[in-house]
Order: sequence, then structure tokens, then C-alpha cells
Amino acid sequence: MSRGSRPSALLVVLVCLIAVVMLVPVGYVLSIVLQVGWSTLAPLIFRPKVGELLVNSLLLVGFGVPLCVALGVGGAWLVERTTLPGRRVWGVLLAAPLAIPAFVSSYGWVSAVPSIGGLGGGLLIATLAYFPLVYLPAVATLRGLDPALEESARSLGLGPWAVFFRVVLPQLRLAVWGGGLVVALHLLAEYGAFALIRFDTFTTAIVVQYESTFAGPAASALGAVLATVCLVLLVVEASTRGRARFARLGSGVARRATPARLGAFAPLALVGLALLSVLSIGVPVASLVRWLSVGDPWSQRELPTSIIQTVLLAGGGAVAAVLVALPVAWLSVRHPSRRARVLEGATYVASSLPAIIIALALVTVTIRLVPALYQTPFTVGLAYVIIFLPRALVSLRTGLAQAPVALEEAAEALGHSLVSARLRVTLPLLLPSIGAAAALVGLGAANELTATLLLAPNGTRTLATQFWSASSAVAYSNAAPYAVLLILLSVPAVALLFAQSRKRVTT
Amino acid sequence: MSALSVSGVSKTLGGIAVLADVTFSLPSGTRMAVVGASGSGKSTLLRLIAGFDRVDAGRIVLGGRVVSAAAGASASGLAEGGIDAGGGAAAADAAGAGAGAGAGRGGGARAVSVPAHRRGVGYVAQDGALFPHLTVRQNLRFGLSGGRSAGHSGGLSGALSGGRAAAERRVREVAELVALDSGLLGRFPHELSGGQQQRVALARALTPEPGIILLDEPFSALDTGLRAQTREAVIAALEHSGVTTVLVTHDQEEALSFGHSIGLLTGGRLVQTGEPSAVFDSPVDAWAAEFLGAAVLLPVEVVRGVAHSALGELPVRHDRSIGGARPTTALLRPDQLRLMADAGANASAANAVVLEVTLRGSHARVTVRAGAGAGAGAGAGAGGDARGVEIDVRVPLAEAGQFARGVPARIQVTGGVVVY
Repeated sequence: MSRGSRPSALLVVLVCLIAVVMLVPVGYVLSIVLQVGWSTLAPLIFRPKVGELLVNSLLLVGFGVPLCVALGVGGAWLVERTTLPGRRVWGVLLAAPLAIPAFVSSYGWVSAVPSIGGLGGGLLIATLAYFPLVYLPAVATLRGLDPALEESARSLGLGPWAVFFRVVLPQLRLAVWGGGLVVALHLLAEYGAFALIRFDTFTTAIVVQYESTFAGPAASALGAVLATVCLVLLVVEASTRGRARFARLGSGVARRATPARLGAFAPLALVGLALLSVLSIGVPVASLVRWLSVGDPWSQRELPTSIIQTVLLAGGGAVAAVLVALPVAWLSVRHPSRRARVLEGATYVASSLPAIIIALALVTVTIRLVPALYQTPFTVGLAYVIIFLPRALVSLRTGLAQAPVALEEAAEALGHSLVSARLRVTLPLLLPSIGAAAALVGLGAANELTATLLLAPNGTRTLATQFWSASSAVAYSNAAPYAVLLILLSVPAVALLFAQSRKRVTT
Repeated sequence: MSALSVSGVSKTLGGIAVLADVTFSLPSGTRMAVVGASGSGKSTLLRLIAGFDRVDAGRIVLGGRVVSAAAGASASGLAEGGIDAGGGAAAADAAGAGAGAGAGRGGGARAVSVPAHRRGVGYVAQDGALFPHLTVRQNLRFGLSGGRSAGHSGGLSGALSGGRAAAERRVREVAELVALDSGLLGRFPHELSGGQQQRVALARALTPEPGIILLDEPFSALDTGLRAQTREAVIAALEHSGVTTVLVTHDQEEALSFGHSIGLLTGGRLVQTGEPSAVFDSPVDAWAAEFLGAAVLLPVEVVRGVAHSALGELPVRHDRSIGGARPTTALLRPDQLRLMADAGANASAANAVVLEVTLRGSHARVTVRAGAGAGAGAGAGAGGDARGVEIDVRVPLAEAGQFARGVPARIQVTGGVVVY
């Protein structure tokens, strides 16, 4: 219980400071609009090229999100609530595509089907790469759902389909909305996957602009539009999510639901899942295996350097993100208040902007205000912190919630000072979530492409940038070892998320 | 000597007065239960004594040492005023209050707040607050390594300064005290049942031999059966160790059966303290009477020590009316009522008429109306309501057959009444 306990001024100041830094990209977008002025921006925004990009991006989101939701929810229901043969295996296979970065998957497809491209190609690749972002929260919700609800509905005379649509689906709303938003933001932010198949979106266009005119008004104008679309999505999601509480009421542990019998649908479901797995995992992996056997790609000189640099950059980013997330999580868990929610929310808003916007903002701010920091590892680390902070926050919040003040008080009553109580009780309880937070951020940072390309010092080689330079030069065989390493790096994070989604806890 | 003395303590949280002018003291080696509804401030009271929160006014003295005192000279003055003000309410129960004023007087004008870890207080939280990452043994040993200053008895300093052997000895001692199987010492908290967890929590609090133990609704999270059983075990362990204890609870039964004294907390005020049986026998007001257990309240008119009611003339056991006002209400406990069927031979003795009989499995509940001219002797000088009073009476199942709607009956009252 933290009633009556007020956060120290130092903590509040620190978190305010963090929120301000996290909001730099948002401020950057606003300042473009204000500084450059509407008269300069309008002609840059209202031209056929931008219209085309807008249509592409909106179609991508408009089709991609529903597809991902259908695949994610359907998959989760099959795995969690039916008698489908091999449910455990399918459960893993449905989460597995998350371990293949979208641009690696795109590389697999484009090298297998060179003619792939356009909206159709982009949709295919992106949907296959991102549907697990809906699948995982849907699994978590289904597991936390009290089967008594479904049983009550059955006893009230609803058939299995009616139960699914009228009871289960509404409960999945939070998972669907949240997952859908994450998919939409990923679709808008993705660069590599679409650039490889030459499908133009805002993000790819911004990078192209940046490469030709640096952070000029043209890139800024596109960035402002992209950021606006993202922020609109955030607001739409927040205002339509609803306030209903769907968590299980009452105490005790929910029983396992009685799984539905699929009957004649079983073969159909199996074929569907098999096809999904072949397309989402099989094709990219097969391409990789093929390219690995061409020549001697493992003997590239740059391989060891890029591994070391990736570890250093991603590790630094992970440590920094944990250090930044800790005070924010502490304030919001230990001293919950409106102010804490606003400050925490600010960090989420910043992180929902595409990496390209965050990178552009940091380029502009460092050059104008602190040139010494331009293209330094510090700036790359800062970008990683801004992009991946929510991953660390979510982990640390959960950890802190499991180390309640009552335990510190118990330790104090047993004669330990506050410092000693925190060291001996709170810290050990927090360690696993600190580890998880660092792992999630570090592994994400190791895969990060856009911000790293823009911000890293000249000569920096990470696995992602090396993979990118090789594959965009159509040196597919040279790219393969990096792709393998990127996948291996992603596996632990995905395993962690997978395990979390299967814990029978609703949060 | 009093182990704990609380005088004039007030606390405001978020602009709301949670505790107002609370005063009581607890002789060494006794157990007190503070009972109050949720939101009455009882947990806050424990947190102030434990040192998790600071007092806004008043003073707390533990074992002769001032551990909490609000700043300013007004604090001690307020404390004494508090005793006077509370005197009216606690007139019959002043035994404790007097001792409280004496201990640790002269806390001074400076604010005092000894941090929780230097108070020598054992605290058991509602859910036990066992450290989930430590085994039962490590939990029990936790308080032996805290560097708490001088212990309260010889055995402790041995365990504190002494090595692992002494610590292990103490761990086994307290485990035995709370009847905890030594095979459980290697387990983690989540591998224990709720009742076992609470016993470990108590043992952990007892390990460093604190001057006082504070229990914050330690049984409320347990199922009914387990609850009674755990409560027995805890009382036995406390009795055996002879430690001064304060329990807060919302459960009247629990409070009445817990210890040597009971305190009634409502709206942040301690309205009555005293021996459980004394408080139950003579609650300070009608609210307290109903809060402590099932009560029948009758309108009455008191003439020369006799209460005239719908049930006839009842002797007054205690007059709780304030400052000479005429008492208007009498308190009866259901145990005092006995319902008898009117056998016809003695029809004039009937003072009630049966309205409804409800079978309740083990017994029957008979609802009667008394004092509405149901019988000859009824109604004389009753509360003035011509429709009489409805009363529920518990009747043994074997006798329930004698009653049916409309049947005249007689309510016999044993023992006197308390009037307000």
C-alpha cells in the first residue's frame, strides 16, 4: 500500500526529465510544422507523390491489420480452445515468425520470387511477419478467460459459434485493438521489408529523401505526415478501446476450458495452419538455407566486427533503457497518480513514432544543438531507448508489482533499514524482470535497421546494417549469415514473449 | 508497566481525518483487539505504531521510549485533553487510559519518529507478506540479521550475535511455537497453504523477540474453517510467548475472543475500550451494541430503575444514557429471550403474537409482534407505538411446531437490559 506516501521530488524531476527527452521526436514534428511554415510545407505535402504514398500506406494498414487480426485470433482460438491435433506444436509455430525480422523475411521472398512487389507483395510479406503480434495477446487473453463465462453462455442456449462471436470475441477486444495498433504502427514504420521489394511507403520515401537531400524540408514534410498518421491511429485506438474491464472477476484460479470439437473442420484447419507456417517460416528459411550453400559466405571479413559492434551497441542500449525505465516504472507502480500516468503515457507516445522519425529528430537536434553528439554511439543508444522503452517498462512494471511495499515494510519491521530492505527484498524480486527488460530491448536493438543506418558513426557495422547493404546490393549469399544471426538473436526475445503469453495471468 | 501507550494520536490522509484523538494503553504481556468496520482507521493505527506512517498529532510510547510524537508543545496538551474527552465514553473502562498518560511523558516539542526498523515491533500483514524469493527458514532468519539494537531478552542477543547455530536454534524454537512442522522450513512460501503462511508470518515476526506484535487482520484472507483453526494456533503461540499484542480486525467474534481487552474504533475514534465481556455486556451506545453482535433494541420508558417495554417491565442492568437525559432505548441480546407457546391455560401471560415461522435447518426463527395489545399484560407503558414491536426469536427445532401465524405466545426475558 502506498497511500499517503509521496514520491520524492528527485524522482518526479527525474521522470519529468525523461519524459521531456522522450518527447523530443514529437517536438521535432511540431517544430517542423511551426518553423518551416505551412506555406513551405503545403506544396511539399500536397503533391501527387505524397498522395500515392498516403494511399499505399493506408491500403497497407487497411488490409494488413484485419488480415493480421483474423490470422492471429483464429490461430489463437484453434490452439487454445479446440481439440486440434498437435496444438502445442502449432502454438509455437504461430509465434515463430516473430523471430524472423520482416526485412529478412522479405529477403527470403524476393530471392525466391524475384517478381514479387507492389501492394500485394507488401501485404503478403508484412501480414506473414506481423500476425503473431495479435496472436500472442489473443492467446494470453484466452488463457486468462474464465471458461465459466462460456459455459454460462452455453447454458443460456447459445451454440458454439454464437458463444465465440458473442462472448469470446468481445473479451478479445482489448487484445485485438492493442495488437492491431501495434501491427499498424509496424506497417507504417517498416523500411527494409518494403524497400527490398520496391514498394513505396512514407518510411521508404523518407529514407530516399534523406539520402538525397539530408534532413531537408522534403524529408521533414513527409515525416510530419507520417507522424500525424501514427498519432491519429493512437488516438483512435485509445478512444475506441473502451473502458470495460474484461479481466476475470472473483478469486481463485480459472479452470481450463473444455476444448471445442472441430469435427469435419479439423482437416481444413490443419491445412490452413500448415500453409500459413510454410509461407511465414518455410519460404524465408528455405531461401536462407539455399543462399548459405552458395559460395563461402561465413568467411566474410566484416562478420566478427559486426557481431562485436552489434553486441556493444545493443547491450549499451539495453542497459540505458533499463536505467531510464526504472524510475518511470517506480513512479507509476509505487506512487500511482494522474501525474504518473501522464508522464508514463508520454513515453509510450514517443515510442509509437516510427524509428525513421525518431532518427530524423535526433539528427536534427544533435546537429543544431549539440553537434558533438551527432553520429555517436550515444545518439544511437538514445534512439534505441526512445524506440524500445515500452518493452523495458512493461517488464519492470510487472516485476515491481510483484515486489509490493508491504514486503519492504515487513523487512523494516524485522529490523532492516530501508536501503537494506530494498537490497535484500526488492532487488532480488526485481532481477528477473530487469533481465527480461534488458533482453527484450537488446534483442530489438540488435535487429534495428532504420535508426541505426541514419545515426550510427561512419564505419559502424551491425548485423542489421551489414545484412542490409549486402541484400540491397543483391549479394544474397553474403547477406545470409547475417540473416541467420539476426534470427538467432531474435529467438530468445520471442521465446520470452511466448512464455509470458502462456502464463495464466491477465494483466 | 505498559508496553504500549498511545495518546491523542491523530492522522489525516489525503485531506481526510483517518484517526482522531486516539488514546489507549496496553499493559505488558496482554493482548488487545481493535475492532472496526473497513475504513474506520484501524490499519492506519497499526501502521503508525509500526512506524510506517507518521502521526499528525499525539504521541506513541513503546516500552517506555517515545517512538512517535508530533512537533509542537500542543501535542502533549492535546494528548491530555484527549483523555479527558474520551473519559465520558470510556468511563467504566478507564483502567488502561490512566497508565497511558504516565508513560513517557515529556516527549518534548520536537517531532519524534523512530524509523520502523529501530522500533522493535513485530508486524504481521494481512496476507503475511512473506518474502517469495526466500525459503521459510530464510524468512524466519531474516529478522536476525537486521542489526536491530539491543534485544529484549538474553536469548535474542545470542541469536543476533551468535552464529548460524544460534540462529537455527531460534528458527526451530519459533517454528515449534507456531506449531509449524520443521519439514516445511526448506519450502518456499508459495508451497504452503494460506494458514501455514500466516503462521510463518507470525513466527517470522516473533523471531527477533519484539517488544510488541502487531497483527493486521491476519486471518481475513483465510477460509472460515482454516480461519478458526489458524486463530487458535496463533493465540496459543502468543499466549505461550507472552508477548504484548495488538490485533486489528473487522470481525467482532474474533475481536471478542482474541485477548484481554478490546477497543472499538469507528470513524477514526476509539469509542470504547475494556475487557471483552465488559464491553459486550455494556456497550457505550446503541451503535456499538449492534456492531458487537446481534441485538434487539426496544423503545422503553424508564421509571425508577425499571424499563417499561413491549415485553413488560425489565430491570435496568446498566444505564448508559448521557448526562441525565431520559433513556429511550433498551438493549437485549437474543440469548436473553425465550419464546414459549401459550398453552391456553395461562392465556393472560401472553405478551406477543406470532407473525411468521421460518425453518433455518438447525433451528427455527419465529417472528413475533409484541406490545400491540396481543395479550392482556402487554403494552403497559410501552414505547407508545400502538402497532408494537417486531422481534425475531430463535427457537429450538423441537419446539418450533408449537408456533404458527396468529398464535399468542410469551417472550420471557432473563437478565436485565442496558438502556440508552
